[in-house]
Amino acid sequence: MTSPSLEHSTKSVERASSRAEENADAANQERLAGTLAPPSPARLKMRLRTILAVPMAALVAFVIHFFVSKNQPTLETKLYFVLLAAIFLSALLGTILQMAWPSTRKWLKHISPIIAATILLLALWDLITTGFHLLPLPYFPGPAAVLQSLINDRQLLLESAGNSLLLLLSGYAIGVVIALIAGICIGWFNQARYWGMPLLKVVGPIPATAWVPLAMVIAPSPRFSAIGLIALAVWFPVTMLTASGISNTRASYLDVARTLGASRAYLIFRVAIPAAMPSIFIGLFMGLGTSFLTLIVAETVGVKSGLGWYVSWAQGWAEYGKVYAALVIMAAFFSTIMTILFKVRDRVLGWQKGVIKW
Amino acid sequence: MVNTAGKPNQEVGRASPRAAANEGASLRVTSVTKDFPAPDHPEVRVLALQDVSLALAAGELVSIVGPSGCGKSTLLRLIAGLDSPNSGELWVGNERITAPSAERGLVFQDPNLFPWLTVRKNIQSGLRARRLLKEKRHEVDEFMRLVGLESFANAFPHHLSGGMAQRVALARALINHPKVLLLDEPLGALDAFTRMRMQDEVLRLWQDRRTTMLLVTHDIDEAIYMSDRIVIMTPRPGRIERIIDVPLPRPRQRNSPEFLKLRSDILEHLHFGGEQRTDSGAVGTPRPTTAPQVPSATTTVEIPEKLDTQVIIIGGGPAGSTLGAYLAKAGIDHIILDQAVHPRPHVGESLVCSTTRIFEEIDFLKSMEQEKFVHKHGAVWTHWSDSTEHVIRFREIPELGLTQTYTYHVDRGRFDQLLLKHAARQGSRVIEGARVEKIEFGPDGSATGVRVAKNGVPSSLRCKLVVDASGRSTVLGSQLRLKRNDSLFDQFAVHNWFEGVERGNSETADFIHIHVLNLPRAWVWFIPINKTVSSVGIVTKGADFPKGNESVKEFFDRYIASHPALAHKMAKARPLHEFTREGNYSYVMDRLVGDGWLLVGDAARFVDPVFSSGVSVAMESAKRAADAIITALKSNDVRAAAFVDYERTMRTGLDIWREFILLYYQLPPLFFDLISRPESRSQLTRLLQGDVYDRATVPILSKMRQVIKTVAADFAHPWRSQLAEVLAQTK
Repeated sequence: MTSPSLEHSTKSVERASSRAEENADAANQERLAGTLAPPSPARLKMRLRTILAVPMAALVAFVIHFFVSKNQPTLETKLYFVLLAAIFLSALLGTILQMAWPSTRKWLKHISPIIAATILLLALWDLITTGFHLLPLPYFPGPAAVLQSLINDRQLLLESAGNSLLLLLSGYAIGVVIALIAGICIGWFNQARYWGMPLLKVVGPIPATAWVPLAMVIAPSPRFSAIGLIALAVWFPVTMLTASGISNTRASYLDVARTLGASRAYLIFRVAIPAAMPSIFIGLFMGLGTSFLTLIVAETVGVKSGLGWYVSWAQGWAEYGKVYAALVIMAAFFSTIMTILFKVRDRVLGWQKGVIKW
Repeated sequence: MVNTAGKPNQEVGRASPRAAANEGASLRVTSVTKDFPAPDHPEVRVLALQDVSLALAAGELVSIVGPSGCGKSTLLRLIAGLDSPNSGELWVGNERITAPSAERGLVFQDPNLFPWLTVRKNIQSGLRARRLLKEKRHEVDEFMRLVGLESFANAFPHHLSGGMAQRVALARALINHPKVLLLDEPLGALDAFTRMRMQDEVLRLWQDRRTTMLLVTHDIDEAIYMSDRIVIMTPRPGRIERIIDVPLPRPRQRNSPEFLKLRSDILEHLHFGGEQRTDSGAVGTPRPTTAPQVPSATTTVEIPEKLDTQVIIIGGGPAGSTLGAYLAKAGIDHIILDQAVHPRPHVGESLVCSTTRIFEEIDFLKSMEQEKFVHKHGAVWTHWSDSTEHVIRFREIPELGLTQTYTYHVDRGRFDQLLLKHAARQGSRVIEGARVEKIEFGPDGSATGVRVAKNGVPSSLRCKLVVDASGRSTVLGSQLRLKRNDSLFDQFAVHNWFEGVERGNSETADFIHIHVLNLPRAWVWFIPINKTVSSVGIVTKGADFPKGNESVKEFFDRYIASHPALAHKMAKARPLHEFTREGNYSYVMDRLVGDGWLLVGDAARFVDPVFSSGVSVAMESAKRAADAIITALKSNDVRAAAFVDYERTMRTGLDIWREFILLYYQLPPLFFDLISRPESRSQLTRLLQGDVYDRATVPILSKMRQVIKTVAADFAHPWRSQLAEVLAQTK
């Protein structure tokens, strides 16, 4: 998940540091400057191949679909044609844009091959399913059918996504808050460590989904049980990594802080926790992964809304187009949340830039 | 510096903010001892600092140099309050150091900047920690300017070079306006040029702010260039070897002749110090190093605010107690200050006959009998090469004027306690658990009293005469730097109490048994402590002492197993305690007396106690000191001149002990030969009874010297192979 701009600045630091002499202040100033200066535009001239990749791919997909969709319902076909045409046009627009607006060049250059490849993959899928009927229906509809399900059922899908989001966020938030408090206590206080660590080690590794039967009995409603399960799933990795991060705080940081007159609260909140942040974030990412899994499982067994519920419901009706549509939404949904967490991490751990490679 | 005459510090352009309000504080470290568990043997404690005392005046800059492992950093951590000592005290100004405080800034070799904070936030973290950020925010900019880092305010630490990072670390410590700044090799990781620049910067800060600074460094040039005084420490255990004044004017020239002279002096000294200690491998401390600082039942007197007494005796061991008993008998008001709380363990469990006379004189002989200490009628010597027992019986040559032909084996914990109680009964005022911080001297250079702390409460006691009987703590000797190494005998001992030791035939069963091992200067003692318990100890050269993986117990068992006679004695023996090991740092003091003070017992001199001389030396010196003190107080003159006779007697006696021990070690077979001859035997017995004082000549020693000379010259001599080469430095 390295963002292009970051990767670039890291490289320039490396380049600069090979030049700069260690410990010399003047050289250092230069190195510092190297990190902040914009990359030179000369190296970013886009080649023709890159410019044409997306329009060409769209064109290929268009042609393939034109041939394979002769016997298909026109409504389905039409939508897909419109999508491909839109891609073709925006790619051309992008090409023009980058000439007028050089700052988009780098991004376009980076993203074009991936988009082109995706479009070609769609075309291949189109060929296999609608074209040669190599895969059995109704389990494997073509891209056009999926697109149509997506558009037709957009109301319900959106609603489901909203419900899932609500469940996920409340469960995740509750889990993280409890885990941070527990992790900090276990990491800092010996008493808490003595009593908390065995509990964590014994109960923690049980997959949250294994608690489903129990949760359904205990919780007043399926909604509560889902939130509880997600919180539980998040709790274990976040607590574990928070505790380990806190207890591994470099003793010398704490010593320094003590000689600066730090109180215990300062030692915990301003030294141990910031020092543990990299570790805490690993826990947050792991927790997020398990929370997705738990969310979908919880929705398929109890809750009567949400993306997980939608998938099993669509499967019940053998509407596989809708199943795929829901998967597409899930992909967008989860990766967006993941990206947001990365952004948060980039912000909080900005001081690590140049220290480690993400 | 820039500081122009007459102008207050605040007005100096680039100088520090509020410098005038930031005077340094004095720093005092008194007899601090600190140990840690050894990394691979947690049961063994490694002595990081032993009896370290140091005082810094306010605004002084002092460096500590020494090889790694000499406890420099440990000392700084103790002053910072990050660790606490096993014993001893640390004071800043009038405050005892118990915990870290912003008053004592610490800068490490690694700048240890918080990597998640920008330069600016790192510098202000001290203010933030003390919740002063709002009111003192303006100071942050001043400090950034002070260390020349304005343009890096928002950079993160990993963008900084080593020198820049260290400057940030300095600013971060300085923003708290510490009264004492502790620098732990802060410039150690920098290249030579940056380091010299930084040295000037630190000096500039110091001169602007008058902060008291203690700088640990391994760079002698840096120490000389920067500091007022240089403390040289030696490792294992960490002790202060020497303190050197640096009288050069500032700014100093790094290549001036005076500078280079000082440098070569120090280098030579460090080299010398290192050579001395190369073969003393033992680092463990013999027993729990902390005496619990709790008031004990025998404590009778609390320390009064200010108290006038004639004599203050430091230490309540045999020397102090005996002296107290003599003074009490003569009606002289005195106080015994004892740091430890009785009972306490101690080696030197076997006495010699000369002590009997002293027991009689102080009316203690009855107590010795009542306590049923084991009677010691003589000594049995065996040599590894044959099974002959060389027996010396004290009745053969009775000590002059005595009818009792035996002396005692004692449990030292019990014995010392009884003797001190006896002194208290006789009229000594005993204060237990009182730690002597310092002996105070008047303007004319004579001792005027003692600064003590009891339960952390300091007070001063005034007196006419101070007697140091503190044993191997050598309170006064250390304070006046009189102590000289006398390590002819680099001996170490491992010992324990055992049950079930085979004591042999009934006549010599209660004698002290000494078995000489087939190793240079190695021997084993067997001392019966009571009916069932024996004290057994192995003495050997420091170089042969266990190192590496061998535990003390394994070492002990290996030595016992090395000879069938020993193995037989110890076949059913069961140790009662942990094994104790003891290093012998033999030393001698430059002077034993001075104006208003004198040294007795081990505080005056310590030699290898191979012939059970320890308690005898303590008590004999106390007796003689008492005589001198009584006379001196009568004529109301306690200047050094009044005690010269005492000093001469003690030196003579101790020199004889020392030479006897030296000659004994130099050629062991000679001793055995002499014992078996009647004419020399009686002379040896006299020595072994403790008759070494008041003697002009000791013919047997001349004879031993002569034989050794002959053997040294005759390469064909049968004893030639057993002649010790290391002791050739005899006078």
